[in-house]
Amino acid sequence: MLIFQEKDLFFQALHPAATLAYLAVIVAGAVTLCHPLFLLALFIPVFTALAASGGLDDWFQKARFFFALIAMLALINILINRLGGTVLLYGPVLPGLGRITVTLETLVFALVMGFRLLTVFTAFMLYNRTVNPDRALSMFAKLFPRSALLVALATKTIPYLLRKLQSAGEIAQCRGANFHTGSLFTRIKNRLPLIRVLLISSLEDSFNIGESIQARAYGSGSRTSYFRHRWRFGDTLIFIASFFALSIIILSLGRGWGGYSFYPYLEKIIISPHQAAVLPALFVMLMIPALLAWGWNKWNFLRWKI
Amino acid sequence: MSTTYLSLFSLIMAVTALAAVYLWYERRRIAPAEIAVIATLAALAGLGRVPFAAVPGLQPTTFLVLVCGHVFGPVAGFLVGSTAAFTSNLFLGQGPWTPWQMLAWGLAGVCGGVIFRKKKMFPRWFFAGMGFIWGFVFGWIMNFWHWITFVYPLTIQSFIATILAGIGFDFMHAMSNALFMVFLGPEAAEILRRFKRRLSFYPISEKTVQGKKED
Repeated sequence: MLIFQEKDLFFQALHPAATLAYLAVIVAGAVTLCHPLFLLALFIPVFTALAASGGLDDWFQKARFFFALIAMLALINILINRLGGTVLLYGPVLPGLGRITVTLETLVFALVMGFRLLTVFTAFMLYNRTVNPDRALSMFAKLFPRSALLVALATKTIPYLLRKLQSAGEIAQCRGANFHTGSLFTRIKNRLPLIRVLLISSLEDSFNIGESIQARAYGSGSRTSYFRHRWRFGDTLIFIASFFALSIIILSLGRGWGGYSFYPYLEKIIISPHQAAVLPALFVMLMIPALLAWGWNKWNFLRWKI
Repeated sequence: MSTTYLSLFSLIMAVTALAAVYLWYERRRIAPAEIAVIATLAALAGLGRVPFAAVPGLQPTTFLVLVCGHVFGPVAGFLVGSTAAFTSNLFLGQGPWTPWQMLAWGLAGVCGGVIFRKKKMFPRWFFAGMGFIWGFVFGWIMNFWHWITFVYPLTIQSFIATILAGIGFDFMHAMSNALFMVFLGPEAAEILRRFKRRLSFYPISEKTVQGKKED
């Protein structure tokens, strides 16, 4: 049921802190940088990493949802924005919005923002595919032990409750309840008693869980904790690459190299030699983990070394 | 374009606010049974999203979070709402929406806990109205990040346009909250109150028993 599936992948073999650092740098870069080439330098590595983790089929399946959201945001930008100088099309006059004018600058801005959203989505798809929730949770359990227990309990309860809901539904159907005929409203109304049954029985069970964890001396003293995953050479490599990528992003933001002026007219894509220097550096740093993931699949020697 | 920094700043603020609440919860003295009850309620609220995921907006999550907040208080309401969002996304997929969903459902729990908290009553229509409003407020909180990250210029007009783009889903969410509240609200509140009363009973210690005997 969980989105995460255990597979033989480079990013799954890493320490969760290393994978999280890499993804956090990509998301932070994507939401702060707005230069199209910088966004491309973030997207290509994360897309390659996802491809190396076997997530492309899933990406293309969800592409319809991504592009619907991107199209909606593009439409909002086109309808609202009046800052562009190169008018491509004069549209109709809409109440409350005035005359709609489609400008080249707004169109490019909408496309770049769509690309930014795509980069963030791809990074999260890589997260869902590669970060084991159990291991990530146990990493935070040292700082948030009670919250980690709360999340772990809730996570294990969802599939259990789903099975219970199904069996309660079958019992109700045996007793004459009808869930599949009538209007949508009737069908939903017929299912409401199931929520009541589930609420009572699950809360009853929760008391048993509470007594059970108390019987195992939960909360009786300081808690022992350990994290069994070792920090390996591959983790150090990913961490260093992510650190340098983050430094480049911060430097680019501080000096204004990562920005891009869309209005009133589009500025030149590369305006300074500094941008031309930091851009490939950022790309290379972020490509290192993606290439390692690819090499991990292809080259046993590399798998052994990292 | 300085507005793009707002996106990262708001994301950091949302995560920090969530971390602060969970850290505060860590420091409270809390019975294991209470943790189990909150976890079960969060699972139940999160479960509502999984079978109805194909119909956006139609889920009993907000309804349950509001009722939990009303019965168990704002802190428990926040924890149920935010944990429900996080755990259900382990099954539906985490994304940039996760912290905002955690915050939105958490705040719904706080809202349920603050209003009519002292009175042991459940005004069905008032809560139906609150559920209806929360259907829209939830949508606004969710749209906020999209608005500050991907839309320019950041004006009231562009925010309204962003809200209007998702108004259909928000309306569906609001209607389902109101309907769940009308048909199940008082009964769910009564069930939760019964379990809350059971939570407040602790085993009698020997010292207390001896004290009673002396009396």
